[in-house]
Amino acid sequence: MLPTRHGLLFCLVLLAIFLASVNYNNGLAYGLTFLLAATALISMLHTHRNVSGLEVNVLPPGPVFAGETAHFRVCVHNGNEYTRVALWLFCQDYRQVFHVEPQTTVQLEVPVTSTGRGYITCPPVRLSSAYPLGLQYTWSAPIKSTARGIVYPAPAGSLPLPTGRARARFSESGRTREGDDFAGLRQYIHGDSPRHIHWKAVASHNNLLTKQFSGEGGEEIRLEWDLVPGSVETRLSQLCKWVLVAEEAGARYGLNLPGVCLEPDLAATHYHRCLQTLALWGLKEQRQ
Amino acid sequence: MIGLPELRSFRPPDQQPNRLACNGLLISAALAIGFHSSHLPLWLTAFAACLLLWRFLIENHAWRIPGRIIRWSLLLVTVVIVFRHYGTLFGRDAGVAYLTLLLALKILEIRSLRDYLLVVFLIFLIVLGALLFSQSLPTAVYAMLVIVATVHALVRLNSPYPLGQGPTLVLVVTMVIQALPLLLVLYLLFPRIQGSLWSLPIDAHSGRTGMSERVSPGSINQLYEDDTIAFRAEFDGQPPPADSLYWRIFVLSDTDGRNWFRHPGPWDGANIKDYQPVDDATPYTVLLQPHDQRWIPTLELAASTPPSTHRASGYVLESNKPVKNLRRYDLSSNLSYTTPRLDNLQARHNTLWPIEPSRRVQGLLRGWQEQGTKPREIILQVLKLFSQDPFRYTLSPPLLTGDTLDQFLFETRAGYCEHYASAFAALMRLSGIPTRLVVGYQGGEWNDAGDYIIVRQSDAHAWTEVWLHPKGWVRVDPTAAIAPERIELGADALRRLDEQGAQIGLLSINDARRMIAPDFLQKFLSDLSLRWDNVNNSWNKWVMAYGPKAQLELLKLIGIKTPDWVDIVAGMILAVLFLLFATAAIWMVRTRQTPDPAVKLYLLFCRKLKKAGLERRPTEGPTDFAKRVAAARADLSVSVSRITRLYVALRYGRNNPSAIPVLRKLVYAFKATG
Repeated sequence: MLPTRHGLLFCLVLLAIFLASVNYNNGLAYGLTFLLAATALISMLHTHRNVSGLEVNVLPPGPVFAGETAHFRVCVHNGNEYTRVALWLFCQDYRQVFHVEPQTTVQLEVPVTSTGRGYITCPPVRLSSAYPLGLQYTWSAPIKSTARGIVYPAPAGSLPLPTGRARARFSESGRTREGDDFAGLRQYIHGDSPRHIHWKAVASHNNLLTKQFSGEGGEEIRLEWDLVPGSVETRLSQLCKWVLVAEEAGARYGLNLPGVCLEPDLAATHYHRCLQTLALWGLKEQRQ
Repeated sequence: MIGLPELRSFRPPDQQPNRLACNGLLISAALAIGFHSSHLPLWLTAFAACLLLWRFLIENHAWRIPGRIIRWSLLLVTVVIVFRHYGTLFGRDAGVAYLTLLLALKILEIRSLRDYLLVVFLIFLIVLGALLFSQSLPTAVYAMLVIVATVHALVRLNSPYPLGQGPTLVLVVTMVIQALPLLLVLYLLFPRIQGSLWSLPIDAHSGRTGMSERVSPGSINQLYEDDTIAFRAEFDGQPPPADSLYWRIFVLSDTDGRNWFRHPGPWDGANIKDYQPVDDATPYTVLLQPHDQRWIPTLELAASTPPSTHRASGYVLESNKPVKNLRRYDLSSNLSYTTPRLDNLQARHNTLWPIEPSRRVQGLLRGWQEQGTKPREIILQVLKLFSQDPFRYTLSPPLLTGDTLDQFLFETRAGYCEHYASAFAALMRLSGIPTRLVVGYQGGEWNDAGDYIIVRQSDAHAWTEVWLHPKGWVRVDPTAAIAPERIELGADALRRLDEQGAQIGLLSINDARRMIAPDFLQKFLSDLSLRWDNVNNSWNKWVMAYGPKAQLELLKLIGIKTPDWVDIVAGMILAVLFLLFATAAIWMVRTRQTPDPAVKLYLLFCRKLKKAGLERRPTEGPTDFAKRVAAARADLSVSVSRITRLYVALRYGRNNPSAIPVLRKLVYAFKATG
């Protein structure tokens, strides 16, 4: 518990009142001095009560690319029967005022700017308050959380997407896979890429149909580590860009990194798995 | 580990004070200025009120804040006017005026939270100013009201999401109540210093009237109309009878034939106790109202000198410094005594009469001396003269000019205590008997409600002391001869008799008593006023007269005979800390003891589900959670939704205690596993 700047000013005023009461030998002025002092002391308890006993949970943010801002969600739960008023959340330079009604949880978004690929953790969060008098403030211990988000490498590089090579008509899974040329429509199967849904048909027939691409020319793209020159980060950034481009184009792509090999796939989770692999490649945490 | 956020980096998030808080602050500012409306110039109060109104319009009707030029010129002009009015920048009266100006102008230009805070502090200082003018109980109550209103506004300033008027007021009152024990400890134990740190401004205690050190005809008469209290006295046991309640203040032994003065030099009883007490000293306590002079009223001769007082000539007690604050003195007095023989110088001084007496007066004196030359005989002659027609007692005597003694004895023959006492003293001195004039108070009103005597300015009285062998100075009160009602019934009764046109001195005491007997309403009102005075008396004792002496007594009461201030301060700090912790402990326990039974049951329900692998996420509301559970476990959906609906209704709907047992039954019966 420390005085705020306003609290220091209050101390000066209190001193002035005190000196006046001593000088004028005025019993009632002594009373005023001590009333103000005692109220300020008691307000310390109120300030403490305003902050103590809150439950804080930090939830991880969604994935972001390096340089973007990750939004950690800080949940503050008030399990007591009184309202917590004018709480301050501090996290590095970020600060926010909020209040929590009795028996409710407030969710705050704390923005953290990512710098490089890998994991991002939330800097220690601190709750503080100067309520009710604003003369002194109390603060919680820094709250560290294990919640972490993933930062993909920043997509960069200007190399063209490598050309694909011909592949077998049937993949290992045995399911018919798509190529480049439009071959027709079939009933939607769970797991098909949303990009291949024939939306016009959905609109007219209210029926989910998937566009099929076929032909001998069915290609898959191998995004190879060795295709990119330069440092590790340059390579990862270029590969990341390729993944984005390939995903955009709806191509089948796979990823080949030293020590990791992701077979070409088209599942919705594939895209994120690739980016995650790029994000964590070479980092110790990858093993975890 | 708990780290300290650095003060410099500690910047609260930006928050704009809300309008309601500003309105609250306007109200408490108005209350604070209203405190001073009786002694501030009228234009200043009106000016401040206008500025407050202006701010109110800015706040609530979207008026503009005036520009800097207007504000500064307003400040400059008003400061100059106030300076011309008071002629000074300092002092209590001018200080309050400047503070009021500053407050009103600051309120006009409030923009940031810091401005608001300055306003709050200015209000505190203005309340302080009010306490320098009056320390009465009503003042204290009003000050408390202003402080609560101001703290209320301060709390609202600090909460950007207003909690509402009611809950904030409850919070402030809770804080003040919790602060009271701390206040008491600090107030009683904080070491009090006697005297001022630096010299007080001249106007610190102005506007006091009372006894003066010079008596001329008419000087006491002014006091008869003055009902203010001079002092109160408490006796341990039964108080002495009314006819011995003579409170001595000044002994006047110098005269120019018309006025009487105090003798400047050291005289009998100055600084030493040279009289012989005949009785045991009577102990009593005097609670003296501030009068800006040094006198302390004592019953006859003071047997002891309390700290920071001394004996002055004529066996009276004096304070070392002018009494500027209400003081409490523990005194004891000897009511019978003998004083030593006068030396030649004293004897000559006390028989001095500077004017040649008129022929008529000389004839009177000669006539008495023929009947007996003993001092006692002469005294009786004079008293007999006064008690007979045509001498009468009146509070509105004709004016005396020229040879006052002659005129009084042979022409006007009407007057009150002062006239009779000075005429008596003159006649004694002319007969060669050492005599002096004593002024003080006689009698007082007995307050049954608190067992003490109230002595008012209107009880002022003058009498004489005559030196008689072998007793020494003996009190002779000529007024008692002419108007025994004055002594028996008191000054107030005498005034009422005078108003009714009664012949004072000719009535029997019983008739007089019947004439002024109060009717039921008067009795009720006087009873009420005595009770109110009793409350005030206690207030004075513990607030206004609570100084170093009373503090020492209090410490003695709790067993500390020789207080060491370091220990006392340490004890005070410990007591404050203890009280803080105790308040915290009691309060925390109380908040913990009242969990909502519905919440308790719901938490039990959640634990049961957790065992089944369905944990409620911290951010998940009860309804969302119920949906998720129902999706995962269709078999539970009915009971889960019933419990949830009931719980939500209990928590957020209308308060319906009868639903609790239903919820309890459902939760107890609920099984998530197996």
